[in-house]
This record gives sequence, C-alpha cells and structure tokens, in this order.
Amino acid sequence: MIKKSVISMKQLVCMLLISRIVVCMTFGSRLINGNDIWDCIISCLVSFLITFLMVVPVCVLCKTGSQCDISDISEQLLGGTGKIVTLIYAIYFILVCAHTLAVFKIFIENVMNPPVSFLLLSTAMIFFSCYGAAKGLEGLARTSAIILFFILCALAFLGFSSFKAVDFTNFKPFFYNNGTKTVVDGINFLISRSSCIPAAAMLLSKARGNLKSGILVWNTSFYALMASSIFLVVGTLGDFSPTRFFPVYSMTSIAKIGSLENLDALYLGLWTAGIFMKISLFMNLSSECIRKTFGRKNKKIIIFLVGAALIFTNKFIKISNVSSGIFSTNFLLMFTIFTAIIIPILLIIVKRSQKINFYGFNN
Amino acid sequence: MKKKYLKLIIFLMFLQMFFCCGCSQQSQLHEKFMVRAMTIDLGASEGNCITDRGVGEDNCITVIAQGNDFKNPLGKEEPSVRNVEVSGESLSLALDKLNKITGLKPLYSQNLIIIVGEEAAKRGTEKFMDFFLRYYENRLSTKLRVAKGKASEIFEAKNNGKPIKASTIRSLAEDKTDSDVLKFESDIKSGICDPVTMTLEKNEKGEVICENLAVFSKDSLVCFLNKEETMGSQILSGISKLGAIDITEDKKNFSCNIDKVKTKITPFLNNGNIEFNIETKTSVNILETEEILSSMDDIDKNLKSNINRKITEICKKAIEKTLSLQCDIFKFGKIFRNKYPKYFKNIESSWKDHLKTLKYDLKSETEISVVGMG
Repeated sequence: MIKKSVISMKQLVCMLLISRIVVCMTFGSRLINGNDIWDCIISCLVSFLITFLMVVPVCVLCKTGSQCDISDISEQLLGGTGKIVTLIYAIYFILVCAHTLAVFKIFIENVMNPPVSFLLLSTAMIFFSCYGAAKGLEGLARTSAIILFFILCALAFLGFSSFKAVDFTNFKPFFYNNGTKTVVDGINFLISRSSCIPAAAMLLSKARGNLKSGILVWNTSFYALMASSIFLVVGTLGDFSPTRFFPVYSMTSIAKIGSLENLDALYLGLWTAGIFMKISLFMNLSSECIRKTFGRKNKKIIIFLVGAALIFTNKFIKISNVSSGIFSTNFLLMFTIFTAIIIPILLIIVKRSQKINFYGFNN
Repeated sequence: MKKKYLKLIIFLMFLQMFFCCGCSQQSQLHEKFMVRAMTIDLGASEGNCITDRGVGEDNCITVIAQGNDFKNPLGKEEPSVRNVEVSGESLSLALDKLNKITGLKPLYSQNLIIIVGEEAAKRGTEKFMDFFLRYYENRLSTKLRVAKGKASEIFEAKNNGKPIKASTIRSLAEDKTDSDVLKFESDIKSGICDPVTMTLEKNEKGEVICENLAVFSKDSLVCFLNKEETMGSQILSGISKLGAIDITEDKKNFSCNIDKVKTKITPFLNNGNIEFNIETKTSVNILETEEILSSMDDIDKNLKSNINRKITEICKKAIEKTLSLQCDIFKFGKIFRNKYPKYFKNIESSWKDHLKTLKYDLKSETEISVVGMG
C-alpha cells in the first residue's frame, strides 16, 4: 500500500510560490516580444484577477484533504480513459521541468559562462532534484518552507538595496510605446507560466487547511513580488533593460548597500535554490502521474527515469529554442489553459451529469 | 541491511569523486592579471597594431590595463600595480594580447574604472562599449570617466610618489557624479537624453584632478563643462556635497558648502511652446568668512540673495551651454514625455531640435546654516 502524503496549506503555498518566483526572476522584455516591461505592471493586475478565476475549477473539483487528486477523479469518472488525462498531466509536468532547465541553461551560458560544461551542471541539478523528488512531498514541503524564507529575506534585501538607484524619470506613461499590445503579451506570458494551477490539481487533495486564504496569499504574494520587481528593474535599468536577457539579475548586480556590493551572488544562490525546488516538485508530480497511468509501484525508479529523459532532452536545447516551438508562450498558454481550466471543467461536467443520471435512474 | 551498505557504497563513491579531483589545471589568484582600471585611446604606435582588416594604426584601440602585481609579498602591504599596454583593431583583440604579454589570465570582474581618452570619446564610445556590456566578467557598476587629452597620461601621474592606483582615481569623484557603464548606456539607449561623465586631467604638478563634466551627444563627446557649469549641472541633477563655493558680498568673501540639494523640474505647455519651471532648494553651510561671526544675526540678509543669485547663475550657464549644443543632460525630454505623452510622441524624433528654443524659468531658494558656534 502506498503511503498517502499530507501537507499543510502553508507548505503548499510555499511550494507553489517558489515555483512562481522562479518565473518572476527570469522575466524580461525578450520573453514578451521585446516590448517595454513597464506596461506589464497592468498585465500583473489583470493576470492577478484571471488567476483567481482560473483556480476555481481546480478548487471545485479537488477538495482539500480528500486524498483524491485530479488523476484519481478522472479515473473514477472516466474509467480507463481517465488514464489519458493523467498522462496529459505527466507530459505537462515534464514539459515544465524541461522549460525550467532550458531557462537555467540560457542563464548559465549567457550570464555565468562557467569553466565547467553545462551538461555537467544540469546533470548535477537534475540528480539533486531527483533526490529531492524521491524524498516525497512532505520532505519537499518542509524544504520549500525553509528555502522560501531565505528567498523572501534575500529579495527584501535586494529590493531595499536597489531602491536607492531608482530613477523616477524612467517610468514612461502606460501604453506609450505599443498601446495595449504589451499588456496583452504580458498577460499571455504570465498565464502561460501558471503551471502551479495544474500542480495544485494534483496537490490540493493532499493539503489540510484553509484553501481560500491559501490561494489568496499565494496569488497576492506572487503578483506583488512580480509588480515590485518590474518597478525596480525599470526604475534602476531604465532603457537599458530591454537589452538584457535577465534584467532582474542585472539589477541585483548593481544593487549595493553600504559597503556591500555585487549582490548578484545572492540572486544566483536563491534562484538556483528555487529552480531545484521547482524541478523537484514537478518531477515528483510527473512520476506520480506516470505511476498511476502505467500502474507501476516503484515511484523512485520513475523519478530517475524522468531525470534521465530530462538530461537527454536538455542536450538538444539551444538558446533560440527557449521561446519557440513547445516552449513558445502560445503553446505553453494553450497547454496550461487545457490542464488548468478545460480538463477540470470537463471533469466537473461529467461528475455532475453522472450524479444527475444516478439520481434520475433511482427516481 | 543490504540497502544500508548500498547507500554507504554510493556515498563513498561520491566522496572519492571529490577527493580524487585535481585542481592543477586551475589558475590561482596570483596567476591571474586582475584588471583594476583601464584606459582606452585611439591610435597605436607603429608596429603595435596588426591590422588584418586594414583599419590603419590611427583607428586602432590602445588599452592600458592596470592590474595587481601579486609578486609583491602579500601581508606586508597592498600588492603593487602593473600597467600593461596593448593595441588592436577592436577592444577584444587588444585585450586578447594581455594574456600573451603578461602570461597571466586577465580577470575583469574587479575592474573599478574605465578611462576613455578625449579623441576616442569624440569618435563615439559604441566602438568599444559592447565588450563592457556583454562580456560576463564585466560589471555594469564599473565607473566611466573621460580624460582630457590622452587617457594613458592618467596612469603616468603619481600619488605620494608612487604610480596612481585605480582605487584612488575612482574615489576622486565618487560623491559627485556616479556615472557608470549602466547609466551611460541607459541614457544612450533612451534616445532622448544624453549621458555625462566626470573628467580626469593632470594638473601642472602632475596630479590627477576630477572637477569637470564631459557632455555627450548620444555616444560622442561634445564638450567639457567648466568648474562652475559642472557645479550648476550637478545642482540641477540634485547632487549635493559638491565642495566649497565662494560668494563675495560687500567686498567680503564667504566660502560655502552645499549640503543638500532638491531640484524640481516641471514641464508645461504655453500656447504650444514647451516650457519648464525649475526650482532648486539648497541648504548651504557657511564654512568660512573673512570676519569672525559672533551670531547668526551677523549674516547679512543680502548674503542669502547673493547665494541664490550665484546658484541661479551657475545653473543657467550649465543649461545654456548644453542646450546650445542640443544635448539633454537634465532629462527634460523624459520629464516632458511623462507629463505630455501624446504631445511628445509627435515630436519625439525631432526632440533635439526643440532643445535650442526651449524656454525655462529658474528659481533658487537657499537655507543658510552656520555650524561650529555651539
């Protein structure tokens, strides 16, 4: 018998928030078709509201503490066909891991250019993530609480130290360059990276606690962080920010407080920890889905198989691939909407119709 | 039990990986040429620049990199510095020779300051700035200065009888204008405003001084502001701690220090004409007078208006000079754009043409304090 994991709502929020913060820290105008990121403050506000709506189907379907995640529900409702749904989630979670690693690759190659090969670094990262994923959800949840604490402390410190360098003339009027196009692109980007909602479909049933306040804290904290990082990036880098792949990193490299300079090392530490957390979590979820699809018992072997697949795919990822093909914003957006909204809504409809049929037959 | 042994074996295998690692191929700190400052000039001495692309020796870039010489025993005193001259068709080609000349691997992450020669600055910085923006070891916070004349002459200066060090040069203008690679490039990329940097020059005694401001139009050096104009432009940019200024009143001299500066630039449209209201609020501390002050009442009321007049005068000089050269170093364009975005969008491409006819009203307010009478 497989041991059922139980985590608290706070731990769940920590895990999901770290996964989102990783996105926030790699945000830049190159990911939104080279547009000015200042308008994305409005995108944040709109996406904040959209995310609340997006979470509703998952929350309605997967009750907290029920121990029945979306894969179990789909199997209960659709029988053997439900396994296809589970497989779709597995593919989605692997895709998220691969995309996160691709961003990690660009960062390493473009910004750090270390003497060791990326393959070695990514293999090490995947290996440790496999270890993290194999430790199980409770272990990950506990680690995420610690990592989030350090990440938030470091972000607060970085924000405080770079605020002095903010030049208020850098803030253009909204919609100045491209009208509403940038806002729309920003929304597409932010929603397409909402992989936490499909993850919540797998995790909510394992969590205990107040769901509403958990979702509120998670969503509000992320978009507040996102908006403040855009504010600081635009304020400190000004018109220089569109030329950078990772403007948040560039901002941290100029931040200083007292005699403390070159705070980019802090960024590197916390971002790598965030990447580790995100990959571990999504590897754990993908292996859980694969296990359920193929009826295997040993989850740890599946985790290491997923890890091996990631190492293999990572070898072929190039810088040009990171925002095109399966990693393009449009594809990720469609896939995210499909797994976060369409599948849960379809399952709710099936569930309701089965109930109606059941009661109708009895009557 | 078996599982335990398996885990132990895996752990030992990993441990072995770390213990068996060698680092003989890695270069130690003393085997690196830690670049602390760089001068960039155009032109190379004969035979120093191999011009495969035929750019000619006049267009070659000559760099003098100042690095720490770790051969000097550490612990007793700071390592001495070593200046290495290299030339090439581009900055990267020139710097590539550092390794060949010194036998050490150059390290740029500790570079404190880039000094650009007058001629190189006049021809445009875009020719060599890309290296500082994209090479991963460089830092955006590295200071940028322009040397009057040749940049290489700055390293010939002496400080306490020893060759001047990068940290000394950097500290010369640290509080005045914090022009670094990031700010410089950000202003160029904006396309509206123009960058400025502090200048470095050698005085008659052979000492390096940093008093004036170099004004650019896009990436090309246009002019140098004199000491008063520099002070005026710094007041307009809200920079305080500018050093002492002299005010004469009733043939008596007062020396003041500007402690705090607050500048507010407000744009408005007057019958289709772009106008600016500029208000400066300064807090001035009387440092020295020709007569010994016994109380605050001794400070004549006229002194306040004299200081106001002086500040207005030097600020106007700075504005007039830069506007006449169609350089927007006070970010008038950005400020106007932020208030009148629709109007500015129509004139954005011709903004520089509007600078010559720009109207402004400048008002200065001063608060005077005298310390040391407690």
